[in-house]
Formats: sequence, C-alpha cells, structure tokens
Amino acid sequence: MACLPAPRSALLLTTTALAMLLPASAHSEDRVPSLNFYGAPGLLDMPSGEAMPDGYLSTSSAHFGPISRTTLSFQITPRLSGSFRFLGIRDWNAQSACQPDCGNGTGVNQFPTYYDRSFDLRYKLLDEGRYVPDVTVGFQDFVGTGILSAEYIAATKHLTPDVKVTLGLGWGRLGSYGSIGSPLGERDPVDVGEGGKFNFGQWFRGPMAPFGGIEWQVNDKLSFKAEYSSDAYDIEAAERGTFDRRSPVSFGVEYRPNDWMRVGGYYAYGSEVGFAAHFLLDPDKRPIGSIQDSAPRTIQARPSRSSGPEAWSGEWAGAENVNTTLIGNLNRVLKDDGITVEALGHTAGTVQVRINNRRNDAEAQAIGRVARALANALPASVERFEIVPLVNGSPASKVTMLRTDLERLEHSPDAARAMQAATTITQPGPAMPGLSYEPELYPSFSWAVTPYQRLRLFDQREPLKGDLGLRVSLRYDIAPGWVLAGSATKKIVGNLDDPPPDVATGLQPVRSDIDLYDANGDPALESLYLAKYAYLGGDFHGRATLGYLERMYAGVSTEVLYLPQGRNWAIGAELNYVAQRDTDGKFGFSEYDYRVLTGHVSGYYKFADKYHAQIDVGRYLAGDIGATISLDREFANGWRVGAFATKTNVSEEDFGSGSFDKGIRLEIPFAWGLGRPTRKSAEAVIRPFGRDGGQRIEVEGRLYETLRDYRDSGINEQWGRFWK
Amino acid sequence: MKPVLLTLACAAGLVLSACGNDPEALGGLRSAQAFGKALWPGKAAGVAPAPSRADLEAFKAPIILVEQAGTDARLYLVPVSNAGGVEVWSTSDQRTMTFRNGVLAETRGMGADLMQSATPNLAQLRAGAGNHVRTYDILDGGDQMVRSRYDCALTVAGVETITVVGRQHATRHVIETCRAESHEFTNEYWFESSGKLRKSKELAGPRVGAVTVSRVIDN
Repeated sequence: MACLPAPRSALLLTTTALAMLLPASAHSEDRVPSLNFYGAPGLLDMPSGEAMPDGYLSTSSAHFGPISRTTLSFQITPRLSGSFRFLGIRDWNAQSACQPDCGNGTGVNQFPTYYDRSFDLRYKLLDEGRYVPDVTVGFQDFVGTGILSAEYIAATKHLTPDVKVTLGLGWGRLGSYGSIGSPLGERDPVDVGEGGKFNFGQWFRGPMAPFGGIEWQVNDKLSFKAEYSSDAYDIEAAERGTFDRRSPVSFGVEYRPNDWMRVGGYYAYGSEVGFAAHFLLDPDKRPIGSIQDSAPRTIQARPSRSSGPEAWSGEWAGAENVNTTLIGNLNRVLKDDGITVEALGHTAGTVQVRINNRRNDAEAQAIGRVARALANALPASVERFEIVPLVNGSPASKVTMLRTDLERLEHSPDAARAMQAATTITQPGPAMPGLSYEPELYPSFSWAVTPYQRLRLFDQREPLKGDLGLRVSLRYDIAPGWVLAGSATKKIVGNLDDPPPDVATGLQPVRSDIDLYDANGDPALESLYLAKYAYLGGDFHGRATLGYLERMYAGVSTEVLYLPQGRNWAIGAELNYVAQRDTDGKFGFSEYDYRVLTGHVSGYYKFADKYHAQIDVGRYLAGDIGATISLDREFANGWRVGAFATKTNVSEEDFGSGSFDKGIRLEIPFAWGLGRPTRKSAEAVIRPFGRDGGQRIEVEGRLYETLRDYRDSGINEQWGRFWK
Repeated sequence: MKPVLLTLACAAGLVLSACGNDPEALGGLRSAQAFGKALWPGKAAGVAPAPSRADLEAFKAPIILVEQAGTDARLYLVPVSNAGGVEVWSTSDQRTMTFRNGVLAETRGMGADLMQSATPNLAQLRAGAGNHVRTYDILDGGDQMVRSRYDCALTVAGVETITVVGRQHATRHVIETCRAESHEFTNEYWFESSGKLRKSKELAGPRVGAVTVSRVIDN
C-alpha cells in the first residue's frame, strides 16, 4: 500500500462532517428529583427526602408573590449537599410604621425590599428501597441571620414509578404552622448579632409541625405537584403584610424540556402566583460531548537497522547544532497542538525536552502528543524520552518513557493502561548535561486586550452592582523563569462608582474599601511586577514576585513549596511584605500609609480522589493571626466546587457583619463547556460579607495551583487523554 | 501598526471579541463565543454533491469513504501509515480511523472517539462462523475510560452484489451480531471472492455509532 506523507495539504476531502461530532444518541437521564423554591430537592416550598445525583450543581430561581429566592446548590457527596441562597422580599414596608416615607429609615426598614443570604446543609440518611423511603435531615439557613432558619426530617417514597409522596416534620420556620407541640424544648430567640454563626442552640427546638405532598410524573417532561406547608410565613405575611397567606395548600405544574432544565408554574398559599426555573449541571458530563480535537500524528515505524544503519549508530549525536535542529523539527509538528519545546538535551540513546503546554487542558494529552512527536522526529538510536513540562518557565516534573513501549502499545486494545504502567513521573531533577534552550524563544513579548467585568453583591444599597470594561495585559518573558507582567483596566460602563456608606470596623480597611478602588481607579494599573519562578532541586519549588502585585497591594511576595511526587499532599510557605496602594489606581501609597508583613504556612491534601483540603495558618493583611480551611470537590476535568472559612484573632464585633470570613468558590474549565482544548478556566468566589479580617493578598502564579496539574497525580487523573 | 493604535483598533472591535498576539493567552470571551457557536451552529452548510469515481481516481491514492448511519456525514480518507498490521487513514482535516488487521479499531478527531478496542481479525470475520469478544473504550465527560464489552457471533447472510461509488462488486455478505446485557448491535461485511473486504458497516464506538466504510479506490 502506498502511504501518503500527510494528507492535509493536497486533498480537501471532507464534506459535511459536522454530524460526526455529535453523539449518535442522547441518553436520557435517570429521573432526577425535582427542586423546590429553596433550590433543594422537594415539592413547592417544602423539602423532600431525596438527594440529587452525586456532583450535580444546580441554580434555581423561584418567585411567588413578593418573595424571590435564587439558590446555588451542590451535591457534595452522594449523601451531603449544600446550598447558598439570595433572598429578596418586596413590599417589606407595606404596613410598617415608617410609611409612607421609609427611605430615610435605618436598620431593617431602610429599604423597600429586604435582602438576605443563607446557607443550608442536607444529609440523606436512608435510600429508598422496597419498604424504606428516602430520608433526609436538613438544616436551612444555619449560619445566616436566621430569618429562614428551619430544620426538618423528610421522607419520600414512590407509590408507583410515577407517583411519590413526601411526609416530613419541621422546626423553626417549618414548624410555624399547624404545630403539634415542642417535644425537644423551647427554641431560643434568634440572636442576629453580626450573623454568620452556627445557631446550634435552636436546632430541632420549639414548635414542631408536619408537612407533606405528592408529585405525579405524567411523562418524562410533565409533572404535577401539590403540598401542605407547615410554614406560617409569620414575618412576611402576618407581621409585614407582604402577602396574604390564605391556605397551607399549594399546587404546581412543572415542565422539563431537557435533562438540564426544569420550569414550573404555581398557585401558592391560596393567594399567590409563582414561577421557578431550575438549571442542572453535571460537571462529569460535557454539555457538547467529548473534547473535539484534531487527530494526533500516528507513530511511524523506525527504519530497520539494516536499512538505516546511520540512524541507529548514534554518530549523529556528536554533530553540530543537533539540539537546535531537533527543537525546530519538533516545534513544526507541535505548533498545531499549542505546545512549544523550549529546550532539548541529547545523547545517542536519550533525549530530554522541556515543553510549554499552552493549550491542552489534559496534561496527559500534551505529554502524549510530545511523545509521538519525539518518536517521529528523533534518530532511531534514541530509545529513552524524558519530557519535562514547564510552568512559568520552571520545570514542574519529569515524565520518562521508552520509545519501544510507545511503538508497541499505540494501537493495542489496552493502550492507555499499558502505557501508564510503562511511564514514570518523577521530580524534574537536574537538567540533562548539554541541554540547551532555543535562543529564539527568549525574550518574548505577548499582549492581549480583553473585556473584564466586576460584580459586587450586596453592598448596602443594591443587591448587585457591576462594571464592564477593557483590560490590557502585557507579559514579557525575559528569560526562562523570569517574567515581567502587568495589566491595566479602563471602565466602559457600570455603577460601581457609587460607593455604599462606609461602615467602620475596628480594623485597617484592608479589603472593605474595595468600593473606593472601584470608584476612584479608572483607569487603573492593576498590576506590574517582576517574577522569578524556579525549581530549587529535590521536591522544592520557589517563587519571588516584586512590584504592584494586585489592585490594592504592592510589595514583595516570596514562596517555597515542597511538592513530593507519589504523594497526595504538599507543604508550602509564603512570606510577603506589602503596602496598601492608593485608591486611584496609580503608583502611590500615601492614602493609607499602611505596611504589613503577612505570610502563611499551607498544607494541601487530596483525598478519596475527589476531595481536596487546604489549611493555611499565618498572619493576614490586617495583622490578624489565624487559619483558613478550604474544602473542595474536584473533578478530573478541572471542575471545582468548594467552600472556605477563616477564623482569626479578630473579635466578631471588630469583624462586623458575618463574624468571620467565609465563602464558596467555583472553578469551571472552559474546555468543559467548549468541547475544545484550552487551559483557561473561569473562577468565581462568593463571599456573603466582604470584610477586613482573614484577608490575604492576591498574587499571580502561586506555586501549588500551577504545579499540581503536572505532578504524577495531576497527569494520571486524565491519563486516558494520553493517546487522544 | 503602533501599539496604541493597535489597542484602539482592538477596543473598537471588542464588543464581541478580544484580541492579542497569543491566542492561548486571551481571556474567556473567545471561548464563550466558540461555546455559543457550538450550541447554536447556525445554518448548517448544505450537503456538497458527492464526488464521482473519476474525481476520486484523480488523486492517485487509495481512498475509503466513511459515512455515518442516519446522517449526511461523509468522510474521505487516505492512508498515512501502515505498520505491524495497523493501518491509519486520515481525512485532510486530521481526523483518523485506525484499522487493526483490517478491522476498525480506533478513531481520532471525531469528538467522542473510540479510544481503543479489542476486535476480531479479518480472517475470523471472513470465515463467517464462530464467536468472539469485543471491547470498546471511550472517554467519559470526566476523561475516565469507560469500557463496553460484547459477546459476538458470525453468520453468512448469502451472496450479494453491491455498488460502491458507481462500480458493482459481487460479494459474500457476513453478519456479526454483538450482545451486551442492555444493548446489541450488528456489524456487516461484504467480502469479494478474492477475500478483499469491499465494504463494511461497523460500530465506531458507543457515541459515534455505526459507520459504513467503503473501500473505493484500491492501491
């Protein structure tokens, strides 16, 4: 058979291949529980005993009468789930004493709409069986200011495959209507205080009331619901008169156009019309199927020893400019894969390359493409490949394999597992003797102009404010590991320049003045710094960053990380000396004249494949001393959903609203939604209260997060992409 | 263009786009655009008329035609490597199909690729009798390898004259029936008297589904 060298140039033979990209059949999900107005599995307003499938993330927006709730929920483990919610109640001053002019009021009457936020946790105790129902115990609004506080136990059982009933017992809000007594004692009054504390003392105390309901799944898309609610809406209906609660019974109809969406219309509490929309995401399923990428170049057989003796002899290894020539040949092939070989060292039998992977979201795929390029570009005598991925120009690890194994396993029925077993991933180790860089690559300059957006949730005037603008980013890679970078922003449109009234705390305003930076810094220099990244030998990596590190701080930041291979933990230390910048986004420091030494010792631990914990202990920006604990659920494809909390030696009064710093965070890899390889991702951190205690500087290129993708566990978790 | 002017030019075009000198370094907007396009591809290009045998012969290379069952998708592939009983064929836009011992074993560049598989060989299929096991491995949305395993049996359906791009071939028609607990499918093979496999309908993995492979131009 005649083989053509490469078909791409001469023949344009593909026609209408679009359909090939799409999955042939869309498998229907198993029936996933429907959600209630709180974004939890349930009926209309009442919860059920069910849980969502493991790892599901949902966003719910539910509205009835004056009440709106927007909830983000996550199934943290198969049994444990959590929610974070924004609540808005309109007509809050409908019958308040301050009528008709409540605008100048203070405290809770200050605004016509009451806004609040709350956290829930739910734990599923039992799974439905032949006789046993699904049973869940729930804690609603268990750390907030407490207006939604309730606890419940709910049980749900299918009567037929299409009909299920729910019965439950509620306390707090959910025990406020039709109570059957207070078996566990009185409920302490809500102690709002600064909020943000666990209200243990109230749990399962006070009046207890039953609730229940029924859901009929007519077909895959349509369902009907009816419920009896044990929530009296004492504050919203009786006290504030925001709506008229006439009946405990509500009805609804829901429609599910696809696996990822459900909408509903309701008649609630005998007086109000409602609607809700729920959006579901399964991070383990890419919305448009698999990653679409061009095929790798297949490995070509080496010439036999008799037909190509000079390639096998190894004499080539002593020739001039071998490294440069090979780097050039490799980079011509790897250009399409978004990979650059920066340096190469060789002997007759071994080649080591240092690569920069700019595109492939799966590190194993980048390694696999480089391995095949090496197999096709190197003289036949080279048997051992050492691939060293670079992060910010600094070696992260070393992946070693034999050429014979690549050739032998590429098309075998068990290619992925067998190649994984034949590959070793170790610390980078010293550079191979004679390794040299491609001189053309440094220095290099890159720039980008991109839009940016900034959102501020819940300042004291509005639930949501935002700016939209342009960001200019520059990056100058001076030499391997040396980076000069900066960015500046110019606002185009937005309302962040209207700062909320200043609430003084007992602390230096290390973060709470962010609104002043928003208002005064336009245009603003965001960052301008010189950074050095280095592999320090053994399992140690280092970083030093000097300059304008972020919008609010400038100074010097240094870091050392111990990242052993073959382990699921790492330890790092960071020390920074910074000064608070002026709010105008220029170069000065006179406005605050505040300097602080801040730093942390950090421990990182990945467990049970899916979970990641981080503990940071040290001194924070306001000079406070304490610790942060972060817990994340991580998915191999880069998704991450987590929560963090920081407790320092700042008193709750000095901290202000929220009592201590905490929040949730999300990281969504673009490759997941896009179906194309890219290393970019979107990150969001939601802090219900942005204050000054427990705050750290933000600095680019922190070591653990950038290096961990290339340690053995990071490469192996997406090993299936090696041959893609 | 001077940097300032370039920046302004960029800014003007930025309502829907981002710009810079390193496409990988750009922010999420370009990704978002592509995501939008993926979800709403817009008006699909019409189906181009199929090239004739003369058109294909003009390339002076072996060509196979791959069609996806139930769609208009049509790929033409030429061989790019042949070693150790493994042939790799590629389209001009870097999608490949790998045949091990003459049987479709892998795809690449098709999205939900068939990453690896255990297959019978062509001699077994040609025999038209006997049993064997097939496995198909694809990557799930979390990039984990998922294997489907099937027990398969072969029968001869009879002789049949087939037409491949304007030319008739007398063939022997073999059917391979594969069963798993919850799923079954059939592959079909049309062998010429010389033993040459002229055409086949083979499963290209659980997501891409069945494809028809016609060996149009031989070497």
